[in-house]
Amino acid sequence: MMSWMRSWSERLRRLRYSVRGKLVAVVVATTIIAVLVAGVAMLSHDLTVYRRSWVSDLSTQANILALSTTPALLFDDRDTATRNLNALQARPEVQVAAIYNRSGALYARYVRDGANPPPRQLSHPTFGPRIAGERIQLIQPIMQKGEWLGTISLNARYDVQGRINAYFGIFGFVIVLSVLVSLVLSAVLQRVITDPLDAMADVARQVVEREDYTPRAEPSKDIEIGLVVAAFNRMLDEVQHRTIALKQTQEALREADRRKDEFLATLAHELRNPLAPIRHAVKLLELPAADERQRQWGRDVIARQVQRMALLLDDLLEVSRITRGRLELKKTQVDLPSLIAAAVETARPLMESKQHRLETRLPAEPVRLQVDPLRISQALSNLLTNAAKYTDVGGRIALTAALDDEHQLASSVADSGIGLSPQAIPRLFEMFSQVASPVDRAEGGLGIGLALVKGLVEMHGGTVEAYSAGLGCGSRFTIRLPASVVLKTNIAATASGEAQPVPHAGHRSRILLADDNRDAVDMLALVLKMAGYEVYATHSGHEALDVGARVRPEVFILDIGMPEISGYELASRIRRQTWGRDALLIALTGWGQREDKERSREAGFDHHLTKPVDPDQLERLLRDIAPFPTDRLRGTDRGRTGPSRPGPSPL
Amino acid sequence: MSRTAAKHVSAARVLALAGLLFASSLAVDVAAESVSEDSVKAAFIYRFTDYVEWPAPALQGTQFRIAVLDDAGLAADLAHIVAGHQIKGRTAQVKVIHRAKEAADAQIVFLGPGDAEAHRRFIAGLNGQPVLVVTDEDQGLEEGSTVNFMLIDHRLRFEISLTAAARSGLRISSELLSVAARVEGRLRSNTDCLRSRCPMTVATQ
Repeated sequence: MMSWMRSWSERLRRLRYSVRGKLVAVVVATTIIAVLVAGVAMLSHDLTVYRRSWVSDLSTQANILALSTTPALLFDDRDTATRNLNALQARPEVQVAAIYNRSGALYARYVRDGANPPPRQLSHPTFGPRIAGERIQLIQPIMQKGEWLGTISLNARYDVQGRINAYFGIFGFVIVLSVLVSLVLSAVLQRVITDPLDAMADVARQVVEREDYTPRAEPSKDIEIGLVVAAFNRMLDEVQHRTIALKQTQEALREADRRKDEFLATLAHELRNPLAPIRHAVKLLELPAADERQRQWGRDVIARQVQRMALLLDDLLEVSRITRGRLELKKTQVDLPSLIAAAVETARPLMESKQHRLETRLPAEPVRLQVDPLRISQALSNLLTNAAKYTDVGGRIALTAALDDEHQLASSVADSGIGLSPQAIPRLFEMFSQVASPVDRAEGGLGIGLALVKGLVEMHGGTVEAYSAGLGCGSRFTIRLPASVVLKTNIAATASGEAQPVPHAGHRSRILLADDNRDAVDMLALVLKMAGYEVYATHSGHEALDVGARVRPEVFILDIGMPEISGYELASRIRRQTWGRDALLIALTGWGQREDKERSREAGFDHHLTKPVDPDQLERLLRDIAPFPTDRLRGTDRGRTGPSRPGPSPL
Repeated sequence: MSRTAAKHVSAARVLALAGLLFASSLAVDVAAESVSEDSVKAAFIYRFTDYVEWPAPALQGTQFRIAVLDDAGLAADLAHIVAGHQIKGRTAQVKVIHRAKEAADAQIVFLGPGDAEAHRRFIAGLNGQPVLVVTDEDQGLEEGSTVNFMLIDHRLRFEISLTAAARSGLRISSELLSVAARVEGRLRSNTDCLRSRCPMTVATQ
C-alpha cells in the first residue's frame, strides 16, 4: 500500500516537473477554461432567451385566455371562464390562473394540484410579468373595445435553477469528455516535442551514468528541437573529445611523474655513489701509516669522483636550462673536424678504459658550420659516451660525418653494443628514460644524455634519430643539421687554428680575495698562492677596500653574500677607485641564474663564477682572460673529460 | 322563467353582474341597488350585437333599431344603455312595439314574456327577415326565436338556435355560442364546436 502510494506520488511529481506534465496541464486547463467560458456564455444567453420566451409565451397564453374569456365575462359565464382556464392543464408549468372581474374579485380560477390558490381579491394589480425566485407572475387586463372587463393573472414556474443544474450537468459531461479527448490528442501531439527531449534525456543519463560519450541523440526534423538536438550532440562531441584529450594528458602526466620518481631515485643513487669512494679515500688520507703512493691514489679517487658528481650536476642543470628555454646558443663559425676532435677527446677516456676501437670518417672537403661549437661537440660526445657505455669491452664505435645532396650535415655514431629494442626507440630521447643496463650499472646515468642531445640539436634546427637492428645488434644514432647551418667555404679560408685560442698576453699577478667565510677564502688563497699568484685574502668589504687601495691588485675575486658591504656594492666601489677601474673583477657566488649574472655585470664584475669554484677553471680564467668562445673550446682541447661542463660564463 | 322568478336572483349576484358589466365604460351611473333583471337583459341584448352579423341589406339605414314588444321597462333600460353608443356604426334606436308589423325594419326584436302562440305568430310573421329575435320564455326557441333568455342557478343565461339564425340570414359568432347555455341546431363536428370546446355537450347536460 505504502509503496503503491509512493509510486503514485512519484509519478505525480514527475508529471508535475516534466515537460509532458506541463503540456498536459496546459491542455487540460485550456480545455476546461474554454468549456467553462463557452458554457457560462451559453447559459447566460439561454437564461435571457428563456426568460424572454417564457414571458412572451405566458403573455400569449394570457392574451388567448383573455380573448376567449371575454364573452364569458361579458355574459357572466363563470363556467366557460373556468373551462377556459382549465385548458391550462396542458401546460404543467402554469400553476395557478385566475380571472378577476372589474371590481377585483376572483371570478374564475385554475389551480394545479398542490399549488396555492389565488387570493380572492386583486387590488391594485401591477400589470406585466414579475419574477420572484422560482415563480413568474403575469397580470394582464382583459379589455374589449376599450372597455375594462377584468384582469387575468397567471402564475407559472420559472425554472432557472433547474436549467442551471441541467446546464452544469451538461458542462460536467462536456468537460470530462473534452478533457479526455484533449488528453488523448495532446498525448499524440506532444510526442513531437517530448520524444526528442526524452531521447536527449536518455542519452544524457547514459553519458552521466556510464561515462560513455559515444551515444548521440536522434536528429529531429523540427527546426527548434532539431537545433537543440544538434547543439546537444555537438556538445557531446566536444565533451568526448576533451575527455579523451584529458585522459591522454593525465596518462602522459602520470607517466612523466612516474619517470620523474624513477629519476629522483636514480639521482639519489647516482649522487650517493661517488660518496663512498670519497669517504674511503679521506679515511685513507687520514691514516698516518699511508705512504705517498696510497695518498696519491686517495687524491686521485677523490678528484675523479668529484669530477663525476660535477658532471652529473652539470648535465642536470643543462637539461633543466634547455627545458626551461634558458639556454642560449652562442653561434660562431667552426670547422667540423675541430668539433669532432673535441667530442672525441671528451669521450676518449671512457672508450680507452673499455678498449673500444674508434673509426672516424669525415668528408673529404672542408666543412664549416655556423653553430654553437660547445653544444654540438657536447651532443656528439654524449653520443660517443653513450655508445661506449653500452658497448662491451673491445667493441667497435664508428663516428662518421657527411654532407648529403641537400647540403645537410649527417653525423652518425654507430656501435656494436647491446642495441635497442624497437619498443625502446620512440622513448629514447625523452627525459629520464634510460635503457636498463644491469651489466654496467656503474656506468649508469640519469637518462639525461640523449634528451640533452635532442634538445641541443633541435635548438640548431636539426634532428636526431636512433636506429637498431634489435637487441644485441648494436645501434646507430644520427644527428642531422640543416643546410642553413652548413657554410659554403673555399679551401683557402679553412686554415686551421682559427678556433685555437690566442693566449692572453697579460699576466695578472696580484689577486685580492674577499669572502666572509674564512675557510673558503683561506683555502682559495692557498691554492692560488701555490699556483704562483700574489694573493691577499680579506674577510669583509671594508678590509677589501683598504687592502685594495694599498696593494692595487689586478684581479679581485669577491664573494657576493657578505655582511655590511655586499659583493655587488664592493665591486661598484672598487670600480670607482682609480686603482680598480681597470682591474679584473670576478664574482664568486652560489647563485648562477641569469638575473644574478645580470646583476653582477651591472655591479661592474667581469666574470661570474658559481660556487664551488673549480680551482682549475679559476686558474685557467686567470691565465687567459680570453673572450668567449675560445676559452670554452680550449676546455675540451685541454683534455677535459666532461662532455658538458660549462665553462666560466663570461658576462 | 318568469319575471317573478327573476326576482329571486340574489342581490349579491346581481350586484356583481352589474359591477362587472356597466360600471365605468358604459358611463351609466347605475346604482347598485337599482340593477334589475331587465337591465341585465338589456345589457345582454346590447352585447349580442357584437357577436351577431346581419346581412348587408338589413343594415342599409343610418339607424340600428331595437324593437321591444310590449315591455316599456326593458325598453327604457335598453335605451338608457345604448344612448350615445353606436351599433354596427349606426345610431342605436330603441322603440316599444305592439304588433309584428312594427318590427319589420328592426334588427333586433325582444319578445318579453307573454302568449307563446302570439309569439309564434309574431315570429312567423317576420317571415325570415334578418331580425334577431330574442325571447324570454321557457320554450322560446320552439316559438322560433334565435336567442332565448333563461335562468340557471338564479343566473341569467341564454340559449341560441342556429336554425332560426340561419333562417333569418344571421350569423352568430362562435364566441357567443361558447357562452350560450345551449345551442340548438348545430353539428357536433362543426369547427366552431372544436374551437369553443363543444358547448353542445354542456347544453345537453
